[in-house]
Amino acid sequence: MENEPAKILVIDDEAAITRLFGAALKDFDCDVVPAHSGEEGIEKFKGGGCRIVFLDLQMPAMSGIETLRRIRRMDPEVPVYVISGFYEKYFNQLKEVSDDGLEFEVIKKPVDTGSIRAVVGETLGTRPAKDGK
Amino acid sequence: MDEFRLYVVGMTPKTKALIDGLKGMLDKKLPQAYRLDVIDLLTHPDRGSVDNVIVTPTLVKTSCTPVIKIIGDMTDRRKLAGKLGLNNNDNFPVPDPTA
Repeated sequence: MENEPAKILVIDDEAAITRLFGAALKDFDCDVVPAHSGEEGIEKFKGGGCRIVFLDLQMPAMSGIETLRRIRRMDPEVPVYVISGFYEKYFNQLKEVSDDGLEFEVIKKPVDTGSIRAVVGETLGTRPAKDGK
Repeated sequence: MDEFRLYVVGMTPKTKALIDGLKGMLDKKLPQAYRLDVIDLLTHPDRGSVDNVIVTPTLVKTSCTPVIKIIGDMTDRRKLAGKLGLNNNDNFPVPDPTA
């Protein structure tokens, strides 16, 4: 398991964002698994082995909040980074989740390559497999 | 006096453990004096712009130039102290990981 690429689940209804994660992490020893809805994200999470989850807050159908609650029911420990603007209107929703004792972190929207690489590198304690910065 | 700002989301058990561990490390490394401000972005979302915070948790040492910014895992106190320039043999600021 330790030698397998880290599975990083990216749940975002915008395909451009999931592609951005794939491109940003192409030289890391990891598999970026895209999911374009909360429902798809839950199904892929059930497959097991996720080391990090990036989760868009604003999605149609199953919201990021509901997706986060479902993931936490299955796994209280896996690092989940909620992708969100740093605005009160969004954080009020997240405050309810936090007040319920659910753990998560936030990453500022719009995300960029540098912040994705920094977060994954620091969270996993790894650096790119190739010299491809 | 060394000054730090820690940006978090919510006061969950994990966050409280992070704060306690950080205070314990700073008490040991800087027994004379330091200042640690903890900012909960869920309560003060606009405060993140002060240090250009893009992810939580983020720890910023503001009392040096350039400032030192640390993200991600902070559970290894010795490594953290080194990154903050608080170990005797490791006084070199680390680059901003988000730059």
